[in-house]
Amino acid sequence: MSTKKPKLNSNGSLPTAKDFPPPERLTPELEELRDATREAMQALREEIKKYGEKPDFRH
Amino acid sequence: MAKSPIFDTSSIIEHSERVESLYHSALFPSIVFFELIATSTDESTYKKYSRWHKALKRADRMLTPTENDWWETARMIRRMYLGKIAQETKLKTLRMDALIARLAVKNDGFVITVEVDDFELIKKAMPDLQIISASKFFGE
Repeated sequence: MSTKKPKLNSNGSLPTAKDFPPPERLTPELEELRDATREAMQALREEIKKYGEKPDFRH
Repeated sequence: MAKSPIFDTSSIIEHSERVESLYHSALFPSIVFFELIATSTDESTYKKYSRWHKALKRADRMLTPTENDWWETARMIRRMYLGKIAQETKLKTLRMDALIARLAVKNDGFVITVEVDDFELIKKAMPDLQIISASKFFGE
């Protein structure tokens, strides 16, 4: 996948969100990823709103 | 050296709207999906996670631990155990995060997390790990 990946910032710190601009053109694959990500994140927010904070099943 | 942002589950849950806008650059560990799927209640939510999961795989943006990643993560936890870097009870809670950390180092990425303290602990046994708090990454 040919998305630009910034190096460390000029001040030597890690990149932040603003260092990752969206691509100018979207392939069909990226369009689907954009839509699927948006839908999943919205579902996550709705589920938290409906049921409260998620239980921690990591441990 | 090029770096890719890698979100852990805490950052996705607390910053979902902002994570959404980085679909084109971020990498997602499969561990995140374990945590999201295991705790999803509605069938419709599960289907949406499933669509996202497929789209990430198709775009080659999913990171999945191999047998060797498990091995190296176990060695790292062992170093923490033998070096008394953390108590046993704490080490048990770090397994999933340690796997995410391993994937980040292996794939030349950095971890974005709300739980910075846990990853800082892991970094003691994995010096190449790079971590940034979600609030700093998103400029809050």
